Amino acid sequence: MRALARIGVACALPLALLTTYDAAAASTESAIVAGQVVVELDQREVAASPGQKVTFESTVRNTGDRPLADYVAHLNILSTDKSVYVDPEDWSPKRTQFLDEIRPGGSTTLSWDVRAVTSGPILLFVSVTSPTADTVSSSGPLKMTVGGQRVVNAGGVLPLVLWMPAGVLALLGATSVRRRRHR
Amino acid sequence: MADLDAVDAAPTTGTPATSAGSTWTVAEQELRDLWLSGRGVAMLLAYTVLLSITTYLIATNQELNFLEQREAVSLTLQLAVAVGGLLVVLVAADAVSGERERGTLESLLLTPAPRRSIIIGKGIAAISLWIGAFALAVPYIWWIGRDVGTFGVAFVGGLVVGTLLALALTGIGLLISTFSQSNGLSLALSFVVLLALYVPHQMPAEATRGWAGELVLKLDPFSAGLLYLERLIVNSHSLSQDLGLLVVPALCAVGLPAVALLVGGRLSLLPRSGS
Repeated sequence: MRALARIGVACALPLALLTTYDAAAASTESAIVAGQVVVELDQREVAASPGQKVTFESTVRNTGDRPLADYVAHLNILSTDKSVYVDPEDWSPKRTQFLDEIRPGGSTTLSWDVRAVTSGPILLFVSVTSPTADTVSSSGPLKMTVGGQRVVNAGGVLPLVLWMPAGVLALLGATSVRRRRHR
Repeated sequence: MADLDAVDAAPTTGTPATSAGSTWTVAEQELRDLWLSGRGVAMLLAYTVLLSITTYLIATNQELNFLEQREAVSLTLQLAVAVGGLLVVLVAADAVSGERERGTLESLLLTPAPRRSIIIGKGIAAISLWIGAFALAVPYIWWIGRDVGTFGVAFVGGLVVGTLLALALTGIGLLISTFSQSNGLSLALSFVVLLALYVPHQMPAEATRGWAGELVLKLDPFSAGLLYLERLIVNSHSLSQDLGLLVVPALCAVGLPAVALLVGGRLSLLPRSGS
């Protein structure tokens, strides 16, 4: 039994080392590939009111020594307040852009249009991924504060809500009088 | 009654009147019957009272005034379109079955006016109620959205969507009315159809996600039209951005009145039940 256990340990040890080595290698490779792409935004904070359109730019740089081909950039929109519902499609219908090839040391600039929909703290960032989706590089955050939620000003509501039915009532009375006269 | 007046107004030479001429004669009589009798104005009075109550609550009630101003505009406009559609369907559903129940359809059918002219004339009267309703809704929409610059798109969007839905509902009402022996049945059926069309739009957001939910929203003319208005005003979409949502309402606005017209060519006195 002991002999069997020794053989088992002897086989397992190199296998464990081999596995550890592979994971480390993969991790290193991932870090290197991720380091090839740097994404930057031209703004860090912006304030907007509901309905306002905001445009910002992101720059994707190739810091590696290989060209970046067929990379995809995507705009992420979320709120840090759990009570604020965000449907990204409402904020920006075009949130994915396909990049042209970027040569080593080169860069490309993308423009993003966002329309503020609901009030609250909103976070935007751009992620770039390779066509095989092995790695994802993201920009820093653009903090958008959507405030000034406008509600209906109640001033002057009474004349409207009273005079409109009153006008129609007067018209109804007039048709009634006309009908009686014609009888 | 409108039909008896139509008999008086019809040519007495024995030759059928021209289709356009007789259509206008029927439409004129129906419009007089609807508006000068006070029936249409009474409906619009109820309509303005409803809009006034809603607007007052939106402006003063804390729960409703929590709505963002554009959402308040959207809510009022959708209400105006939905209730305007209800008024149209009520008039259209009464058009033929009402005459049948009052025993005046026979004399109407004896006039030289082609049967399709009768249907078109009654349809014009039903549509006129929507035009009146929308005209009365405009001050409310302007007042609620006066600070956020949504009046222009709300006006255009509401007019387009409301007119498409009014045409479709006129077709539905006329179709049901043509085949109904009793006016009560026609009104009840039309009302049920209207409610059924309104249901998908009232479903929770979770229920309308996924391809099936989106398909239902797009295939239901009422839901698609109201969703178009919501996106136009709340999400500040442009008038052309969601035109795909108006395909089904537009098809229904053309197709349903066309079917009603086609069927109306065979308009007849239905045998009374039990006879």
